[in-house]
Amino acid sequence: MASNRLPNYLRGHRNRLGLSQTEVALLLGAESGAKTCRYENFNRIPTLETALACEVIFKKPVSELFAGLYQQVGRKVRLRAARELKRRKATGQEMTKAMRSLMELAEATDKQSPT
Amino acid sequence: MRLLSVSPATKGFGFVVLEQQDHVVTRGFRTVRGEKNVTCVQEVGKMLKLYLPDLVVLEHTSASGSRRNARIQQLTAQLVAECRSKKVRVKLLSRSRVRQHFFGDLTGDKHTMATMLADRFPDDFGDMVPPKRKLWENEDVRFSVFEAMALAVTAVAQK
Repeated sequence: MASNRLPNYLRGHRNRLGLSQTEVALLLGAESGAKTCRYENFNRIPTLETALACEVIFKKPVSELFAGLYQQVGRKVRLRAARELKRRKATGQEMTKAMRSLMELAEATDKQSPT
Repeated sequence: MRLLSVSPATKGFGFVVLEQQDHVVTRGFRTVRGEKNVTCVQEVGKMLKLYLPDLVVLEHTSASGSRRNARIQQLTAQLVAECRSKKVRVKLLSRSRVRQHFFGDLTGDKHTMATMLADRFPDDFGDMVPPKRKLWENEDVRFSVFEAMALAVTAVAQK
């Protein structure tokens, strides 16, 4: 089986704070703990607002709470950066600030969020 | 690496998911009723699907000197079969091996081991240590969670 990061680590952080799923749901503005349960079982990806609310509640950055998702998104961004860089180089474009940024993105390694 | 350790008990099983050797992803106790072994295997199957562990750690309940009853021994065999059917590596550790890791000389009770784990992982286990058991009391289910954590910690130390 793969040992990539899990989509999120909400359950562990919730346990550490001694909060129930219902209590977290209340803090997120939801009516029942079912919403929290869906996130913890990786059945739903939260909205940006909910993810930021999780950062407030658990005092951990979103990239750490949703480490697996962050990893996935990071790979896609780097791939797009590499493709765009290749395209610009193929058209003979000069090295601009934008191209240097793309190069940095494309060359970045799969950063593991600290836990 | 991510590992799942399971410690069967009378009313269910304690479990811990550990990542990168010292990060507790989740821990808890699952209560099962009715066909206990069947339900335990189903619940562990769900955890395998959810957490995608690289390794499952179980107690070697049929090791020499083990005093686990027939149902638990059968459950362990069923869990091993379930893991193998899902192509997940399994590690079996005897109770004496775990005790040796924590106590060196094999003496030491569950409460002491739980206290040691709570000291080492205060955020995850700090307020979980049950009170010391009196002779006439049943064992607190939380000890199964500590047993699962002890298995995980021992397995990591052996790598």
